[in-house]
Amino acid sequence: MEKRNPQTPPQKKVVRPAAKKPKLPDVKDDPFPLDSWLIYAISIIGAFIFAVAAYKEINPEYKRYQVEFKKLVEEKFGKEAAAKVPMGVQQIWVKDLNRIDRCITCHMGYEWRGLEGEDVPEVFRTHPHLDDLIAKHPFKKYGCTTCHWGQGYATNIKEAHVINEGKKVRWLEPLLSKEKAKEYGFEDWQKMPLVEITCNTCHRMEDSLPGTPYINLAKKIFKEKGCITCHKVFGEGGDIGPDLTYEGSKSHEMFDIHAPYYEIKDGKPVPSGRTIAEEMKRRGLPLSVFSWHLLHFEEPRSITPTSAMPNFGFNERELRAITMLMMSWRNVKLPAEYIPKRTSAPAQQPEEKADTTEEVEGEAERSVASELVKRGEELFKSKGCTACHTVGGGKLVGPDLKGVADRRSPEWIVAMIVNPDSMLKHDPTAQDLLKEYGVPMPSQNVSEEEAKAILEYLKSSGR
Amino acid sequence: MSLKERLYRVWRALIWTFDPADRAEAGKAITRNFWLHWFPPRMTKRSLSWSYSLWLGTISWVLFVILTVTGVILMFLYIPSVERAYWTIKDLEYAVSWGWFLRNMHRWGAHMMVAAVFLHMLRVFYTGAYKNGMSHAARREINWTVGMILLALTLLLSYTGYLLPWDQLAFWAITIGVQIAESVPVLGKHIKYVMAGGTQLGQPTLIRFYALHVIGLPLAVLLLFSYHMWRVRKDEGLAAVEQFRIAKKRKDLQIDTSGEEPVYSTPWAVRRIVLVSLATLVWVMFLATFLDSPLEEPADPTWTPNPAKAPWYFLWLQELLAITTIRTPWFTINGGFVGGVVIPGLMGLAATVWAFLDKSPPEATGVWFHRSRTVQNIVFTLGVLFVVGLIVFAMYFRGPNWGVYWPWAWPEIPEIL
Repeated sequence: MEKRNPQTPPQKKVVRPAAKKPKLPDVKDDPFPLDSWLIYAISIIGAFIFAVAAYKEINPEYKRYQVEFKKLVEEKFGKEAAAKVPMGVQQIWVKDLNRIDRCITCHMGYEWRGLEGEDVPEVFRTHPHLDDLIAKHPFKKYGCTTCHWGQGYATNIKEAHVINEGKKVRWLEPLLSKEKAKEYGFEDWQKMPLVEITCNTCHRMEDSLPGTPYINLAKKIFKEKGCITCHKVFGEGGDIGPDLTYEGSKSHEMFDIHAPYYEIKDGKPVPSGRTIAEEMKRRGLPLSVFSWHLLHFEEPRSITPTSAMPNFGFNERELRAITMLMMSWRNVKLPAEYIPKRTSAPAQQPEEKADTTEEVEGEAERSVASELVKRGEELFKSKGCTACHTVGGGKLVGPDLKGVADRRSPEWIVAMIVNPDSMLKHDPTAQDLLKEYGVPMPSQNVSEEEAKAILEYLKSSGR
Repeated sequence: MSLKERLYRVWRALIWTFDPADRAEAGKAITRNFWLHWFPPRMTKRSLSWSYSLWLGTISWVLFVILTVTGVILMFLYIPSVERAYWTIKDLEYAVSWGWFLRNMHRWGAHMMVAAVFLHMLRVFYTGAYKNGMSHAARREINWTVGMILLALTLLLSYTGYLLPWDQLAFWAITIGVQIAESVPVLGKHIKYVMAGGTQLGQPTLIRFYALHVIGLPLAVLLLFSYHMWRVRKDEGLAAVEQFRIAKKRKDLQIDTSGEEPVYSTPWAVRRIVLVSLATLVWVMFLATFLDSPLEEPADPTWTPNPAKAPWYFLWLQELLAITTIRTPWFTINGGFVGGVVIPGLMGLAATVWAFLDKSPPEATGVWFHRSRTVQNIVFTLGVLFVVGLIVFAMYFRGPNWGVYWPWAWPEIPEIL
């Protein structure tokens, strides 16, 4: 047999088969008999997994709807019509707006006349505004998501409608659905009121637009409350508050809903012990930018305790309206042909002036003084003074102006109205007031003559 | 000449220009050929066992093949433009036949490959497989170095691919990656400029990453991988065989020589390779079928997700940068140099060079956790735990503003509606 090395100690003289020169095995000797079985087993598992994948591929969620729709068409219009119902992913491609909307993959009846009835399931119903809205906004030119939002690319309900239950759908234009409106407590949620947001994204320059009651109300509020006093919109307005031109495009990441929520006690904001998110949950509101705006408009200082913005005492309807207005102001690039024609004159200032002069002229029988008082009151409202001042209603952002004519000289008041910037620079009284209130009074482009009218108004109502 | 013979000649003319005179010449022709000489005719049973190599190298390679095949198909469907890229991914998800499956396979395959290559490195270290044992011809430390480069290339492949969907996740993860590179002192700005093709991420970045992802890096991996395999052969096989060589030379009876018996490469090794390939493929298919790849909002440079995180394999660098940045009310010391260069650089360098410096005895070659290597195994493990720990911490415990949160107490971000 084998010769052993004499130096090897005897106790290690173990017969070790592996130490022999290994003889070559027969090719047919399977060293890993399990391998073949494993290959079979994994092949079967693989085939099964592939079958599951194939099933997912062949049976997408929308297929069920398409089969159902075909059946419905057959019932209503006969076999011939049913044969024309297309199958597979359907889409409207609006090149100009960079939108591809596959909504019609399921909502197949959108332009079929004769499916308007209540008996037709909502998903297949004809679009209810074929003759008015759609006549002006044809599907081919606007698609679906331009007005309704939602994820046009998606072909399943959860992702198309952006339903954020469980795994979040990462899409910044959630469907403006009836259900969402209901969640926010709209009484008329069945009219799908949230869609007004997208109407106004294009129609923001119009003073009012038929079919958008909320937006119209909000625009009225925006004008009457003189929001422009503190906020800039398209370069016009004050800079005490943030620029609102594209408020609707502000990222949701920028709304810190985990900051403390404040309650107003004795006119001062006091931490409530809850965060903004907790307050939203407490009220049954979704954690959203929309809810943030609702809470903020209800009481600005409950979100930002140092805010200079007054509480305007909006009711529920007004809160929703003004929130929708904010959400609608988005930075969208529209091709020229999509920009709506203005339905009213853009310049508001001259119009208002004309109005007031007319009224003044119409009341010629009144004394000059009372005319001035009347004009002053109009100006006090239209110039946005009410945003910060009350007359006898208590402090807001600025001092209550009741009896101001007794406290200050008429010259001082007129100067403060006409030229607050220079007053704040040079006048010690104005500077003291700035220290007390913290917010500098913005210039409102009031002429001296107008300021005198306002002075008369303050004198008359101040006592 | 019969028709059969004629056809045979045509066939030979098409595929086989070399006509060996005898078997020996034919054998040598293969042995000397770089491409054909990957496998010897026989291997030891231990080299092919599950427990020694865990087959991680093969798994990495199979994943690379899966990624190449799915990747080439995806190249027909993807458009590397900042205007179109995101929407072509949306189309893959919703409209292209099998698009979702392809994308999922490619995505999960890529993550698996990063993991497999990393684990392969761990295996090689813990088995002392970069050591030469008693072989005179082997230079396994060279292959260890090549392996390190392959790991780096794998990370770069994954990183360049991460940007391509051009969504918020991609955009900001790559931004973080570029910022890490930028924090390198002196050279940082230039590195950033080369990576991004400008001062900020945009079309030049996308096309750079795309070209690297589909041509440059895969080609580099292919070449280096071929060399890697060829070297295994020239280094006289896997390090496991050194045990048998030592046992024979020293007549050392303490050495475990089970699994020394030779096994024919064809069909047994080939069958095992088929098995591993199949298992890897099925596993990736399983992931692709039941797990959807993330796709966030379209990339928007105007708003940053909070927190923005690098891809997971670079998270440890991001975390290192954060914790080495010292903030006092008076001054801030940027962690770029220490966290971004010194620590990871030294760790990488030490791991690479160690293969040349390891003076443990030859018996420690090709065997798991040899006693003589306990100290270095512990040091290496601490390094690995450091990296993995930082990754896990940054992934699950870092929230908005890079603050520390419990994974279940993550603050919610408001929705739009």
